[in-house]
Amino acid sequence: MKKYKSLLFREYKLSRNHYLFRLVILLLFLGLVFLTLLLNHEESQETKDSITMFMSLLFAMIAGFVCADDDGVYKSDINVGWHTYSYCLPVSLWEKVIVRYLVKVFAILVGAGITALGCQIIASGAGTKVDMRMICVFLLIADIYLLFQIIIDLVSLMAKDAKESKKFLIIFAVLVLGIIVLSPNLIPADLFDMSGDELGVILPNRIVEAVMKLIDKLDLFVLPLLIVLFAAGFGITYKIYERRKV
Amino acid sequence: MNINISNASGEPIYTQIESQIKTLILEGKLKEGDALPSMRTLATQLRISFMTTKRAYENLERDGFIESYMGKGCFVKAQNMEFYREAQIRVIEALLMEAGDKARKCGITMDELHDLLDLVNGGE
Amino acid sequence: MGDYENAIEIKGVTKRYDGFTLDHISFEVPKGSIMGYIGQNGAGKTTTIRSLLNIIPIDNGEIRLLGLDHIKDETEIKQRIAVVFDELPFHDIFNANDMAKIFEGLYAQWNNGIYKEYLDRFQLPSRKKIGQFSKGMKMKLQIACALSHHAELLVMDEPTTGLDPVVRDEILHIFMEYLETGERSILMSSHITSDLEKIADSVTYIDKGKILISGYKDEILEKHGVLKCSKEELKAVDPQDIVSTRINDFGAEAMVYDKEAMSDKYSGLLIDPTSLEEIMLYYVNQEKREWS
Repeated sequence: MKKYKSLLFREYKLSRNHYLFRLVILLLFLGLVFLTLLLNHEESQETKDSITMFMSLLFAMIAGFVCADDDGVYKSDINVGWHTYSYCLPVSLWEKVIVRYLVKVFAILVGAGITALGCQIIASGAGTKVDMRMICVFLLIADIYLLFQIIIDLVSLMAKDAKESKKFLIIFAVLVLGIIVLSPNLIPADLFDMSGDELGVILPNRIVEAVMKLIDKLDLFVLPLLIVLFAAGFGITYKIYERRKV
Repeated sequence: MNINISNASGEPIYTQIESQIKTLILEGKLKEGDALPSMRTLATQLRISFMTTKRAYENLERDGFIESYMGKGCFVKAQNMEFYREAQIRVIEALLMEAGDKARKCGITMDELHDLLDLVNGGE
Repeated sequence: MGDYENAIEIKGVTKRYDGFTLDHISFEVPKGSIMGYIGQNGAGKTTTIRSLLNIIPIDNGEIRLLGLDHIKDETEIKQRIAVVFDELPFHDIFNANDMAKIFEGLYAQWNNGIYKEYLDRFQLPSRKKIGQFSKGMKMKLQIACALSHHAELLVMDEPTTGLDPVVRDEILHIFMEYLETGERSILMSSHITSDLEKIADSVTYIDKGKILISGYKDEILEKHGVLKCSKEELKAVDPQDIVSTRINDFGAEAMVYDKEAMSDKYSGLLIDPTSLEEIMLYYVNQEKREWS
């Protein structure tokens, strides 16, 4: 137990600024939106509702991005020489990777909570009810981001040099694009049809509609997918950490 | 207990330590039963390898000046002063013979040699 | 703790890289002693140390630390040893107190009291960020951390390189004190032979991945000598007795393996005592035979 306490203390101190900075960004965004909504009570309820939806969506997406983002601890461990040095210490590979992942999981859990809170705040600023599906949006974005990170890590594991990395990345990019293009319902056809009402209202509304449709389809998968990605990511991180001298 | 070693004298350090400790014992500054500093403490203080002090102590023990006890350390052994005196007399004889040889080679008489001895050693 | 004769035993260790091979390295560090591992930059010192610590895998050979297998018993070994690198591997944002918090959870035998004493002795501030430390302070911090968990073996890769003489002296003295119990050992790699001249009990020379000579420092220093004579006089000497010869316009200087044997074998030779640094120079050129 003492060992984990020490290792987590280390992770905390090293990633603290990274997460604090992102928390501040989220809070600023929240503050701006809240104030804007609060100060504009002349707008119709309908407008407020759609703004709420759009802003909540944006908030959830930013939160997803920001919480799943790599906190740079592994990179700085390598730069400072701690990674190699840690192999001189009585710490096992498991312990190192578990601690790394605990931090990641914690960041995403806290992110989900902040998303819920944030959306609540936005909704109360507009006087509407909060749409809890935003948490799914958050998780979806986190999933996508984690998936990309896993792909990049996998490429760096498999490739022996920069040339091979590029090859693998291109292959993966093509695969992903193919999946997106070939999936019929992912991007609704009329998303970018600009005829009709004001641009400023249509596009955001349509984006919200499109995303929410997607969420309704995927909402059961988002959490299990997260767990699967965590497991995969853990395995890959384990393999990466196995390289003792980088 | 005072031990000073010279890096420049060309004499191996362990020999210097040996002779300094021997002198201390024979002059009575270190008495029978006195404890010597541990090999490692001496090495650390003099900033030398403990193998050096170990060798000096082993030689001192071999020559009968000290004895070592497992777990306790090294202690000064009672000295047979007569024995030591005899040994030193032999060394002095050899030195005097050499002085005599050199004197004869450049024509200095034995009387002149006696005078020189007195002069150099303060006329005692 | 342990009943072992040698803190480190390396036998026939080989590690192949593209441009460099560590070739059948063998030596021993007896318990309670300091071994100086001497070699030029790129000779293989760091590779050897990394192999010891299982940071890089070896192709052949056997390594035992504290009498234990260096791979199978790795975790136990790492509880009982401490490692010091030439560059401080701690993040700049930490301070000395933070490092204590980190290490106390990792080492079962970590002792905060001892750590604080070393910080005091080294005059290291406990709350200042490591990034603001000078090079000497950084090394002292690493050493304070290494000496605070009753480690039986210190493995150090060039701990004094780049430090000024005052700091080096201080650090070397601390190492000697640490060894006073007789139960602890040190392996220290360096190319500053003057440091090792003072405190090493044994020395091992490595060059281009091969061990040149290994043994007790006093013996090696006493046995070897440098014969100074003319080039003609040199011809009378059996090449087997000579490590290598340095030629200049006015004569020759040849390092001999055994001073005493030389004066028995040949008469009237002027053989000077030598230093660890000279021994390194002559042995590095052993295959070349003559150099200048």
